[in-house]
Amino acid sequence: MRSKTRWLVPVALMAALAPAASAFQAAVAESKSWSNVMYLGGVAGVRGKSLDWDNKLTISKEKIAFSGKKVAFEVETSAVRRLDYTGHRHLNDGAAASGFVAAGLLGALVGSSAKSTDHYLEVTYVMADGATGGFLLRLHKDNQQQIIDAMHAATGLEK
Amino acid sequence: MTIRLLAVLSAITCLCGPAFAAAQEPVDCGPKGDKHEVIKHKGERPMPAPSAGRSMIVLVVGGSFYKSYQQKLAVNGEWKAVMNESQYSYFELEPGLQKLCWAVRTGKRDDNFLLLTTKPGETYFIRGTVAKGISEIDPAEGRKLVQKMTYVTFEAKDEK
Repeated sequence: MRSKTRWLVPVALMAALAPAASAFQAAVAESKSWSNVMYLGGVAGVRGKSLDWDNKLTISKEKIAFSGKKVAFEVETSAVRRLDYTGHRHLNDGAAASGFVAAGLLGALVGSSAKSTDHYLEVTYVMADGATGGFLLRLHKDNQQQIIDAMHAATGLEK
Repeated sequence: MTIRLLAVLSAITCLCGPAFAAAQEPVDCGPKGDKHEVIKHKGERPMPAPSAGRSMIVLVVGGSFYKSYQQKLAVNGEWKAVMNESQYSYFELEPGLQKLCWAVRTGKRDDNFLLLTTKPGETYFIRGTVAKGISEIDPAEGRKLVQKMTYVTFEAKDEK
């Protein structure tokens, strides 16, 4: 009788903890993180920009969190009101020079017409006092679509 | 023949170089064709507090060797400050989200953009340089820098 009771305690404990554990797992699964993101300012009370790629952006249903070497902030996802993407297409800096080094004038000619796109995402949100705030991110070509999709999914804002 | 070919290729390369593709910037600067004149106010170094319900931006320009070039700051697509090296200026704004664009001849593009959420009654110090663009600095540092600068304003220059 005593040994049966001994088994009941951990089983009951596991049963009690199971919903909490699955909720935690779901929250972790819903939260996604990326590096290769730049911050170009905007969040009230956060001074400075982070213009190297070595930063971390985390998006979940609860919050959007950014952390870099000198800048870190969190914004509640439910406060986001607008997402604006800008793709800035321009001639590739230095491609003409690289082309010249590699293949002379013909290389420079080819290089000077090479283009690349910079990806920016502006996030507008409502602050606790009801005023409008926002911030600007530069995204990497390899993660920009994933981040934009995740932002729309988490905020519920349509594209 | 070879010289002619080289000359043609060089000309094409030079012509293609600065021709940027039509591009949308993440932050708009002021109108491109606008010309401005910088007006120096020697001996003055004003630094007023913002009016009730407004925000103040103080722009300090220094730290480069490009003394002859005009450097301009636009906020939300409108020119708000024009100056040369070792000068400062200030202006008031409605509080809220401000999109700053720094127009200089060199520097990386991302350095020249800055978003800033301003609050009423607050003063924000922005430092601009040719090489490193614009960034918000500590107010104490900003006030210290202003002491070494000449106060300037600007006006639109008539087209001739």
